[in-house]
Amino acid sequence: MNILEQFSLKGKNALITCPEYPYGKEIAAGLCSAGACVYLAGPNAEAMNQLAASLKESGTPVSGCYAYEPGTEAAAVALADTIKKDLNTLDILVENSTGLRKEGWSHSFEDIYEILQFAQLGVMLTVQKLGEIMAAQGHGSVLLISDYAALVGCDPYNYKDCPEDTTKDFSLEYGYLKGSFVNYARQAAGYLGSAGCRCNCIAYGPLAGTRPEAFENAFIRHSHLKRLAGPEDVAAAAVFFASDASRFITGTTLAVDGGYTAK
Amino acid sequence: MNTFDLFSLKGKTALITGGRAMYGKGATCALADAGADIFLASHSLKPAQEFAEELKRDKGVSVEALSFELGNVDSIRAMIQAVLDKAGRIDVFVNSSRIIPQGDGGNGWFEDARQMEEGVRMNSAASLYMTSLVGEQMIKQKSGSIVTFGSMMGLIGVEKHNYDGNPSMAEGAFGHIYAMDKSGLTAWVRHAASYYGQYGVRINAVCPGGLKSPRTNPVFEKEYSKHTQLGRLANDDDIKGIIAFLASDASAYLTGLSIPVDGGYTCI
Repeated sequence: MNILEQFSLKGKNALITCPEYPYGKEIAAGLCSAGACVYLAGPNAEAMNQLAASLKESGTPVSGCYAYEPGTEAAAVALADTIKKDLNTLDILVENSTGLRKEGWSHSFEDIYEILQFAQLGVMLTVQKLGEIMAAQGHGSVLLISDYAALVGCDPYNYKDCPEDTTKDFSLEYGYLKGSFVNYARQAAGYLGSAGCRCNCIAYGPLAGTRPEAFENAFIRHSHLKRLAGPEDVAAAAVFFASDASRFITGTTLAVDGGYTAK
Repeated sequence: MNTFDLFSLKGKTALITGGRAMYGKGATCALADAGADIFLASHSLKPAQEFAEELKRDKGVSVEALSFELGNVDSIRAMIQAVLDKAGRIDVFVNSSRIIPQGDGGNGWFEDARQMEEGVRMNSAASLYMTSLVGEQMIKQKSGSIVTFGSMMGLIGVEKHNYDGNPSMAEGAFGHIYAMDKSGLTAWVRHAASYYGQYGVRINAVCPGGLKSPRTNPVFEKEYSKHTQLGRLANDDDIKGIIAFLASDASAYLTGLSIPVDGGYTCI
């Protein structure tokens, strides 16, 4: 087979959870432009519909949207049942639920639990229930979307000229949630591997234009490629892991961060 | 200062949770050997009190047992307040408490939702909350060392051959919550180290491998040991050195680390 054909997602169904969080839009556009039928599932109908409209406008339309509030077994089972009924097969699951964040370090137990229920319990239940569809069909690729905080702590000096952003990233649960995907990818790869399915994690650097200029400049200063990620950088890594081009890769975390964590 | 003195915890107040059994017991012994004034917080007060008496008698240190429940937020707050009321400060916090989620009987990959929920609420959320409360006190003091228990299973996936001859153990090895929680902790100590560092507070994780206990399956022990470089499971003493090191000023320039204590299991 021509190597480029291995990157094609033609005929594949892909589901992206919580697509309104960072990287969701770029991943959706990438998977769609590689030929996949892309479906969105999230709790915020308005944000999801806006995103779907914007993707349609840019020539990468999604094939459907599902209401999904991660965090309970009933919701995960209902989503899996609907996907089975509507699509019959699921080839790609992009788990993007860890965008939820509460600023600052002093959080009540209730706040901590609410965030973890959504972004940790929700992830496990989604991967367990939708992973079963993949295991039954004998193929599938699960992508856990994380960011550079999975691999390194936040650098206080990056916030020196934008102190107002400090509490956003020095959020108590932030590093914990992002980092929990690194070994969860290995763990899930163990079970899913027996069924011919894969699970990997992507740790993205910040997207250009999404953070204060002072932070972006500081981040770039510490990056090898001297720029932040663009939409194509985000999309390309997702297409690679979703496609057969990465068919012998499982349980890994790929840093897509311009070399920020490679030092 | 004499290098050996750097390991001393004399005059320091150490709070350890879950320090009564398994690895926690070895950790408490290490704190006692180093001379710390110990508060031993456990969900099982009576055995904790007995252990405290044993340590006082054998090692001549101050040990007070306290009761708390990971599943009860008020008891976590009350336990920390009790330490502060008595000692006025916390120099060392060792978090080795965790519950084993029971749920409704699912196993491994098929772990049921209730097991996952219990794990998230009591092991993940409660631990983050408890550590942040102790951290607040250490920020006030502008000093302190937090040592939290990660796991080798937060660093790597499952080696299926460890369970050769034990099909039911093999099935149970692919659980969700333990791997996710311990993986999160590994990243969180880096995240927390970059937050606490400016206040002079350090945080590190120990990531132990399998501990030999009277309940260890001998076939599992043989298979697992093959994957360690030292050819054995951990014994009760193996955790002591790293706890004394990370708790004390001997590790004053170490923060944000997750240190495997696994006989070399994760190095191949």
